[in-house]
Amino acid sequence: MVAQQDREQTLKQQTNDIDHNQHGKEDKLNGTFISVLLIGAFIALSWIGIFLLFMDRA
Amino acid sequence: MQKNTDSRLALWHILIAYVALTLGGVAGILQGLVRGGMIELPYGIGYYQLLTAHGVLMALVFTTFFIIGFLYAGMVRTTGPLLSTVNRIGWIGFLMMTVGTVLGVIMVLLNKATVLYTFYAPMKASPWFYIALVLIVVGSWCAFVAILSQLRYWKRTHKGKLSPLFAFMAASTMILWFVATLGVAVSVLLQFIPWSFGWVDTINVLISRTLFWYFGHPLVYFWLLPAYACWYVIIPKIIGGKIFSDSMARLSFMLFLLFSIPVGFHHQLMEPGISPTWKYVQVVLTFLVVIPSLMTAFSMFASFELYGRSKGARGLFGWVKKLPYGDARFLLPFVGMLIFIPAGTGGIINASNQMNAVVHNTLWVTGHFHITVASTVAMTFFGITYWLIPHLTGRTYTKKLNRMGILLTITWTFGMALMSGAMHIVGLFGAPRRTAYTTYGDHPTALSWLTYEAVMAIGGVILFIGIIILIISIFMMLRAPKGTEEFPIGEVHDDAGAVPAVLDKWGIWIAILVVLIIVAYAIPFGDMFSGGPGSKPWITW
Amino acid sequence: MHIHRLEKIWLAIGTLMLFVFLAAVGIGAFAMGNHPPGHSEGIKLDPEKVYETPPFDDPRIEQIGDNEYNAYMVAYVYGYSPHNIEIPVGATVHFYITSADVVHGFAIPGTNVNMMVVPGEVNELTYTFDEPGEHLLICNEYCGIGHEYMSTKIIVKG
Repeated sequence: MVAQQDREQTLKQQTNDIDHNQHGKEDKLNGTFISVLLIGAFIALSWIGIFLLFMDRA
Repeated sequence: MQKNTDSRLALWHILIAYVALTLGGVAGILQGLVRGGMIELPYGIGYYQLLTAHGVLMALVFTTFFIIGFLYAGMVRTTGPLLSTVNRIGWIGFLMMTVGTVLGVIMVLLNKATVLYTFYAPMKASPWFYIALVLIVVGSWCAFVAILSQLRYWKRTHKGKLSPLFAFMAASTMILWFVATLGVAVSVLLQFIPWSFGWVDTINVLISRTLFWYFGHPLVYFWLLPAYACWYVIIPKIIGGKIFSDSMARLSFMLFLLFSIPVGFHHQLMEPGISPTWKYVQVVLTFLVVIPSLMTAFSMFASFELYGRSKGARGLFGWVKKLPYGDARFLLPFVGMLIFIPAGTGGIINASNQMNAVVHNTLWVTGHFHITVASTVAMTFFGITYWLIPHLTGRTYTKKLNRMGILLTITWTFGMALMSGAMHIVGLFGAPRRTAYTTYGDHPTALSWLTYEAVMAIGGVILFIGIIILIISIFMMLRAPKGTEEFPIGEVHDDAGAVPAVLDKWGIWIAILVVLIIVAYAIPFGDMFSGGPGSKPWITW
Repeated sequence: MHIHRLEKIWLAIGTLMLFVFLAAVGIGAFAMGNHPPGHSEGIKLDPEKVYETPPFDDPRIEQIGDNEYNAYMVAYVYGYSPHNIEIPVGATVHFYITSADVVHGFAIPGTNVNMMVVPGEVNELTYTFDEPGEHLLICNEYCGIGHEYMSTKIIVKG
């Protein structure tokens, strides 16, 4: 029973290791994150603009 | 790659694609100048004839031929020489598509098919036009069989190994194309051809439109997915970086497969005969197809940032400076990516149910598809061409060619900004698309559009100059110094993680797709069968 | 399968935004009656017999209430029947329209009036004309060689 728990623990550890690089953490992608948020903002503002135009004409 | 029958197969597809682009471009500049009030057409050429030619040559011929040629070349690069049967099927398909194209263009030039590339019933073209379409589509199915057969052979001889990412994407693209073209094939074979030959009296217009748009929406993803394949697999190699995530790239393609097909109603939102409920269901499904593009945006920036940081870039955006903007193989697709931001945004707006009333059949829609297929996709394809033709012909991508590519990027971007920018604005003012020059009897509303239409014409002229730059480039490529030009294929980032098996096979995804198609279409499509006797043919040109 | 933390957050934000848009148009359509145009109550016509089939055998504007009208219209190559429609300012008009031949459009630029006219089907939309003036009504679906001439006016008096 204990051996099985040990095996499960090892598997979990290995899975965690796969998710992280040699330095134990994820890559720095803050610039990417801000870039896509800016894209999201562009989409939102454009959509809202046409939505308001539609409502104004209704 | 040495000159051999595989290279020739890919090369001929690409050369025919550019013949089509050139002819289509001539039509385009003439249309722009007419609509801009600057010229009248000579020799009795009809505006709507030109428009039909432009749509067919650009949206069906240029795209399909380029995509198939590009995918063949990539299959050879990643899975080895084509099996001899695969190569033979490829040539048969090429022949069918070319014969179909020539037949179709002749019908259009003879003014027997002035029905635009959507050929809406009950306008009736010559039956030979529809036969031409069948030849093109069935010819393309040969490419579908060829590419899947080649990958199947590779998988058998590399048991247990993950398919090369490019090959997986090529196969996914062709599966999407096959499922999509079934709709238009059924309509053309069972409706249009018998009706145009006079074997049946009437056609059910709503069914024909629905089958067309069942095809017409995934058509744009057939265009987009090869561009995405370039962005995911090729661009990282060109910049000297790595593919951010193999799994996420594959997942995005599977999501495109699922959600680009059961959504045709968003092109039919203003039509009668489809209930608001079913329109909304397909609008929801359409919005889901935005998600894999949001994933792609993240992956693109991530691969750029990882590369930049690996070269010592610091801060939030230091990596931006590290990208090879002076390399047209990067710059053309990169500008295509940037243009996709407003392009995709416009698509979300267009599909927004009742909001479609603001833009339906206006020049906004024309502006939209000129920045999607004619910028994002076309510029990516142009960027590929600059190294692909040298690669296929055993020549090199020279500094001179690179300068032409940079010049093309600037010209195309500037021309499109003017033309599509003006189209988007004047479209919001209600100016109709697919319409020759008119002022509707000097009505003030129509007169207010004239300046924008003139700007559109100027943009169109600049774009035509871009086409000239491109054609000169192709001639330069065919005479470039001999050598070896690589087909860049990226490697995956070390930390990307293992790829789940479900992202290297299609059975489960196709099964889900079939369910989605049935859910989205069965009931509303079934309702279209009950009703009136249908329409007799009309020839209104 | 590894998904970067920031990608998960981005996709969550992006998906949420899409669902907000869907909710907005969904509520507008189903709770407030702002559906896209469409008349799917099984009204099908024989396009050959449009001019014999009521109400299109007598294309007209008919008052049905206080400043409220039904407009029964037929689109054809290259015009509309009736044409040069006169109504008082503030009129609410329910347009019912079919085609005598090919697919046409029916659009008043600068407004949300925009719908397809399909032979064998009746399309319907309702609009209240608050602005006086001569509004251009055009066909915005290619219908043949005279397409760019196909238009009429809605003359709103007041």
